[in-house]
Amino acid sequence: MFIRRHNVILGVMVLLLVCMAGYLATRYARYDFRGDLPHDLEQRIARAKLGSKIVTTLPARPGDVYGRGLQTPIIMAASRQVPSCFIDPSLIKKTIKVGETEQLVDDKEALCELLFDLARILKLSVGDLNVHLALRKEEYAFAQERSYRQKLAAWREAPDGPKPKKKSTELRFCWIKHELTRAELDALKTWKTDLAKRAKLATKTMADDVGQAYRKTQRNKTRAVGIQYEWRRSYPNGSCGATVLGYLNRNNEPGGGIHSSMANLLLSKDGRMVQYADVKRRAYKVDVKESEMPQDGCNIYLSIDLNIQNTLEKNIARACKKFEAQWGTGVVINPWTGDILAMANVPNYDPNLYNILPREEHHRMLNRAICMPYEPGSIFKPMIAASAVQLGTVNWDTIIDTGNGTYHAPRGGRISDHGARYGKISVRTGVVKSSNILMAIIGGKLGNQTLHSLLGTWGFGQETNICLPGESGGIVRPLDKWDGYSTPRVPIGQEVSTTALQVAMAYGAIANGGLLMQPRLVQKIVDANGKLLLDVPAHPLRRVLSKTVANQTLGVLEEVVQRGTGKNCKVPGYRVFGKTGTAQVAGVGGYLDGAYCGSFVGGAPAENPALICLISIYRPNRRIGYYGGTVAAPAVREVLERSLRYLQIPTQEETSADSQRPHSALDVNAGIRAGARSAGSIPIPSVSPGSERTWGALIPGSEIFPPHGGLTDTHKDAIQ
Amino acid sequence: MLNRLPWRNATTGRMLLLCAFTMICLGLVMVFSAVASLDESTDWYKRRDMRQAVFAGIAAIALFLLWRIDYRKLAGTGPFPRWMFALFLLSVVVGALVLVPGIRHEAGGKFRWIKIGPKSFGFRIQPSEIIKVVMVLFLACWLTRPGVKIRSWKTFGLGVLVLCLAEAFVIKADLGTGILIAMVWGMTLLLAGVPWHRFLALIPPAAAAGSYLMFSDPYRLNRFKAWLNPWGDDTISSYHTRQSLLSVFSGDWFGMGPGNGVRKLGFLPEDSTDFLFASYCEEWGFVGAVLLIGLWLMLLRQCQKAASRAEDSLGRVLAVALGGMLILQAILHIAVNLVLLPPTGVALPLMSAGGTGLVLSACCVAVIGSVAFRPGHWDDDELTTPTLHVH
Repeated sequence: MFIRRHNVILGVMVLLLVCMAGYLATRYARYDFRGDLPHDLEQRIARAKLGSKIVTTLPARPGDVYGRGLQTPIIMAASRQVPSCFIDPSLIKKTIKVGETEQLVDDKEALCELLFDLARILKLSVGDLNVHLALRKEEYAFAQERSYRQKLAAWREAPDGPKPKKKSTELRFCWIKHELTRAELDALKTWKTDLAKRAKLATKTMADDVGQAYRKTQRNKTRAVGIQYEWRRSYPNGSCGATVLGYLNRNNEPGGGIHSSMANLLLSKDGRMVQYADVKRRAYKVDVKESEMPQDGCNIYLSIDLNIQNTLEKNIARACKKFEAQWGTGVVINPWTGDILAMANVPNYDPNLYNILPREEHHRMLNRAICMPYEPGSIFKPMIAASAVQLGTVNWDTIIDTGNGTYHAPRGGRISDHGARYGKISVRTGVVKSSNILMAIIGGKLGNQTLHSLLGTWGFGQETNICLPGESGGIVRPLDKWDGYSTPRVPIGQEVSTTALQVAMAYGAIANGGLLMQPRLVQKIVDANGKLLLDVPAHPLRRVLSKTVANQTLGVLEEVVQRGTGKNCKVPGYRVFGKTGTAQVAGVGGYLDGAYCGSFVGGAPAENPALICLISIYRPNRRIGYYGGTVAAPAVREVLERSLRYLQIPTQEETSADSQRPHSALDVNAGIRAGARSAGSIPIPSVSPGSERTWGALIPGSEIFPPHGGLTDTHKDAIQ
Repeated sequence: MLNRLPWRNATTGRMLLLCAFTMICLGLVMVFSAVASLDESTDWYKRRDMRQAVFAGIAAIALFLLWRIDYRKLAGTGPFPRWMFALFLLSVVVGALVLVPGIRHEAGGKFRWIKIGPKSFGFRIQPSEIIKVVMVLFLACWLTRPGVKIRSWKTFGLGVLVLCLAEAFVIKADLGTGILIAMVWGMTLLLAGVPWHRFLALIPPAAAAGSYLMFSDPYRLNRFKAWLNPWGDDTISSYHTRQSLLSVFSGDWFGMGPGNGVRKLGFLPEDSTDFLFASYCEEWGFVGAVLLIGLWLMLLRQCQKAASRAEDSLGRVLAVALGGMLILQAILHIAVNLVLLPPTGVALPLMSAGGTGLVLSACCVAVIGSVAFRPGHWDDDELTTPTLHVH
């Protein structure tokens, strides 16, 4: 009895327990001494942990886009949360007995019942739903199959890695209806509770196994139907400003306009909710460490004034309709700050209905004011003439002989004045009467090289870097392609293509005393918490005219409206200035017969310009009218008249009655205008004329403004 | 004069009971944690955790009351423990009820339970648990009678008969418990003094029965194959094994914290009974697992002490046979959970959910306690304590 039996038995047990603790320790230390356990247990554990979680994306709210009203911002695009209904057809299964074993198969009857119910509740057609589901299934299976085949092919190329596993081709998710109405949502919820009630009743009244089966079916049906909230974009102003605005589609992908250019700010980071789930994929609790709140997008404040925008759009539309034009475009800017107050295109579209716009109508989404370069025609003349005066080549009162209405340029073809014979006229009169021959002669005096440089100075041939996608810089051919034909034609606005915005900005420079401004569309960016991220200041690019010459040019332009081609644009009470332009439309192999583009640029009041408005009507019906002064000038007059009243710009009488009185307190632009003016007078470092790519160096006494800190990226190219 | 030591002075018995009580409490926590995720019916008496709480209460009461009864009363006074034998036969009859369609209860395709009481709030009992305990008690009482010739073939033959009776309605439905019963039977016989070479005679029939049981059931065979290769293609058969592995080793050194386990959310099957240790490992980690094993070692040590100082051979056999039964079951459970053995349904005694097992385990500990609290042959260390000279 040295070793007692019970001690032996218990000793063996102690040994076993200690061995198991030791085994556990080795396994926890990831020391794999048992070869039959895989080395990737850690990976498996990680995968299993991931598999027991439900990750729900919490969509971030896309930021709002605001335009301006007289005093308050007005929403142009906003997001609202809408419920949408989806189903997971893979959940509708039942068990059937095949011989000894039980198998899980699709429960087609239950799916049919479910589709009938959904169709009734959501007012859809059962047939459509069925077809949709079948198509989705096929599509999904195809996609899975294809990706599997690709992976398999890759694996066959390099068979070192693990062989790809075939994914289930079962459809797990299918949208049934987006944007449920309140009633539909309520009906869906009632339906769910009803089903649960019925199932509960069934277990009490039916036989055990039948009741169980019924309950399971009902539960599967309710589980398969889900409601997910989505952010849906809405544009309360409809088509007003649509081409500037663009849209976001259902997947929050931007479609043009400010939505494209500012997509990364508007669309911020989606959040996610990580929940532990049990084996039936029911959420259990939230994993706080891994869950993230969504970061809502930034709000963007545009300089678009919706009232002016509306007026502009209406008037262009009216003009286009009246003159049966192909399209029309227009821009209204504030010359002092470069603010785009309105930018309109006709025809346009309603971004709320972007998805039902047929493909052949997609041209309606074009923002033609910036993406469609066209030959400006006569509205180009004042810039060249003013620069010629600035350079001292001519004087406003220089008399030039325009002959008898036909001019043969040296190695440059024939230029005519459309039947008019002006004879010997001053430069001023030539611009007022829009004499082609006069401008051709001035072009000859300037020479190709100077002309080419001038175009650059005025910003033609370069993008303005307004924050919009698809901007064109216009077409200014390189100097070595210019020949004798270019010399007389460029000054009258042929052989170059410009966008409406470029011309408007150039006129803005004339109006504000010679400073070419950076167009400003985005005024400020505010993040979701109300923190001001960026406040874009008014930014002058360079001086293109001296103040004197600019003011003289303004006087000439005023004469155009008073006694020249722009008489249609007279606004009672205001000193309006402007210029007409009627360009021929170039096609393949020359100008098209009878195709014109009538434009008018106008601004008011001349003593202190508040607005510049440009409207181009492209290819109006020639029989009704095609001159810029006929098709565009009345529209510009209407826009100016309404906008000036709206901005409460004092009329001449009011100004003379109290010249010291500042603009009305309601005039939101007054302060900005004053600010921009003072910006023009602050001492600015001059750039040495030797530097090559400085357009401003051509003009004596001109300066180049350094870019502001703000939108450096979008501004930096402008100065180069 | 009471024929037992006072509570304050019997270190062994006190430690034993406190160990068992700690385990019951720990088990209650684990069962609550495992069941918390299930949205079961709101009637409290239908919920597994609430039932566990009730049975844990009953078990604790049994634990702290029954040790006061002298264990010798189990054996009675006659040459043969008649009452114990009657109880054993009764338990076998109860075990036979699992064959009766109206009474038996199915779970996981196996008939291991019988139903008692109405459908709404009745409860189920597992006869194999009762058979196991009663068989040990009967064998211990019978074999330690003075008149029994322990070394004879006749006694051994009768013992085999007892085993056959006990296994009759258990082993087909519940191989794990069947093996456990056989092991405990052998242990009890060995302790009572049956020569070890008697057991060699059992090897051929045991091997035959074992291979028949293994190969007669394709399900069992598949489980065995899946155990050999848990990450193979047969994902259905190896499900338990996989989940158990994932559960044990996702705990890491310090565990995910009580109640934070993920596998218990329906992934790990039988997480409150047969795979409680895996669930425990996930939540308490290596440190918790080692502490639990330590707790079992402590219980084992107390059993050993009680047996060493027992006054008579009945006390010695009872203490080690009952204690060994619990510990053996725990070892099997832990080994299955660590995938050192093929998956089979063995609950962790004193901890797993299940009223029958819990209360009976507590009774077993109480019987060992009864042995430990009797004054017997004392070790030197406890002889030095002054209060020993009570009687």
